[in-house]
Amino acid sequence: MSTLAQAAARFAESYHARPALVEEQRGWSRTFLLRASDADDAVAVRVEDGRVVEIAAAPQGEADVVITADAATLQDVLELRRSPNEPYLFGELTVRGPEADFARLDYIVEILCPA
Amino acid sequence: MPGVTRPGTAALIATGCGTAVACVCAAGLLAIERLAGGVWAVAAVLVAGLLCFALARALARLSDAVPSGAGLLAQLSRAFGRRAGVALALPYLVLTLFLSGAEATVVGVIIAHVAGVPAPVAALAFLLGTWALCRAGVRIGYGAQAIATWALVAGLAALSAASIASAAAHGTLGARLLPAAPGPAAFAAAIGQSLFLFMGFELVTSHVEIAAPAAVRRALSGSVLVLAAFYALLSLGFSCAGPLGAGDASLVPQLAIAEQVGGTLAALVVAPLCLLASFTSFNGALLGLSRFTAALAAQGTLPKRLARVDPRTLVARDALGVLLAVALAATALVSYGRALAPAILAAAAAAAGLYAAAAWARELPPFAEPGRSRARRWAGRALAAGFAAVGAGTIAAAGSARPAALLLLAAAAAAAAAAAWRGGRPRTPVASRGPAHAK
Repeated sequence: MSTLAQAAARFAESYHARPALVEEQRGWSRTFLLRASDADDAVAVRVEDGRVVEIAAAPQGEADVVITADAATLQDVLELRRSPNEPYLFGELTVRGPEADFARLDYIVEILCPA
Repeated sequence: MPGVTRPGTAALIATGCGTAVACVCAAGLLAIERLAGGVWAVAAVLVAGLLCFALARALARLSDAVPSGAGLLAQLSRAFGRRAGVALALPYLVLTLFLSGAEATVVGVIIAHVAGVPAPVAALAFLLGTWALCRAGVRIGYGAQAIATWALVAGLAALSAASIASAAAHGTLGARLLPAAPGPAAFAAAIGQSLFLFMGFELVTSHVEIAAPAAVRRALSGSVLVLAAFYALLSLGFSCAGPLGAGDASLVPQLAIAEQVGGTLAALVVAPLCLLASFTSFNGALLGLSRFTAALAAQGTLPKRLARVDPRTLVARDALGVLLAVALAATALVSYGRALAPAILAAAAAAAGLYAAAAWARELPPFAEPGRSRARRWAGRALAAGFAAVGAGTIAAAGSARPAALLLLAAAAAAAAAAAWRGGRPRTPVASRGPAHAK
């Protein structure tokens, strides 16, 4: 399992440990691709009905939302040491996908990581 | 992105034009007419359009290299560093918010004109109504924005054509279109104020997260071309109109011209088009700025409370409340403090400064391609210098509005400097906090 995939698994664990937060996301089903811009590392996280159901270290197929940053930034965000807002504002983390999905993801990270 | 409808070039051009074309632009165009009338006003608009067209190419490159919804803040931060990025981008955003006061004031006058209610009450109702819908999570889609924008553009273009035809029928066309040439300072000021008319087209780049990069590229240039053609025609129509008088007529010249060429009925058709376009533009601006405010708060630049997002609507309601308060204060200042002209001038100067920074950033890493020729690099820097000169000229030729315009610019720059100081430093992850999964 890649470093990024391990970090994603820990993120999912933190998220699932907050049942109220998971409940709020009922009905939300998306696939996220997190891609390191400075390393050959990527991970796909599939969310079904608000729960993380799959983390694929070697993602295949299209994702709804693609998040790109250097590996250290992605790892910091997934391990909740850093809010994604900061690198996003300054162009160090970029997103491709519907704004509403990123806003929801941002909300979840902010709840888990009130930096 | 499976299952996601990406906006195409046409939808993005409508969005770019919709952001730029506001009710207050008619008042701005009238101010340009008073500096340089007839074909000279058209020439000023076209020169500003030419500068913006060149900028559109630079913006396309910035957006290709750093495709971020945070737009120029993200891109300028990558080129100049975080603090400089905040200091350069924030004055424009602050003055854009202040302009919402000018827009609400104009909307109030339009409603007062057709409905007979007091203008301040109408402006307040417009602001509160738009805010309440934003707070409830109502977002205007690309389709609705396009309908509102094209309806307004078509309505005002028809009005201009009728005004030109009327002048031709009365044999005054030549005299109206060829007044005495303005002096160099007045013409330069007219170009500077014309930049104000294009303000907002660059926000097309903030759709890069959902739209195809090629569509964003085409929409940037396309928006400038449509805007230049539209404002040139509108400018001709304004030149051909009879005397518009002072007071409310100078705030809403579009209604005064409508009444001249088509009577009350024409004004009753144009007024709702203006209101619809204002509403869609305001809705997008409030939601976008609230997200930006919340992001700055989460990052520590503004009070943390403003970062809270409502889980149901995903709207930063506290941030939205602050924006409403600022918009109300700006409306009061514009309505009762005669701050319309300073607001327009300060916004035009801030836009010129931001555009200069963007053109300069285009020639720096990570945006400049390794093989970019020396001639192109110098052309980019010349464009930046051109924007800076236009911005300075706008303020220099501002006449009696100069002190207030400078005050607004200084206030916006001070707010930006404070934000840059508080939020621009990089945050090192605190390892000792440990990952939250341990909580």
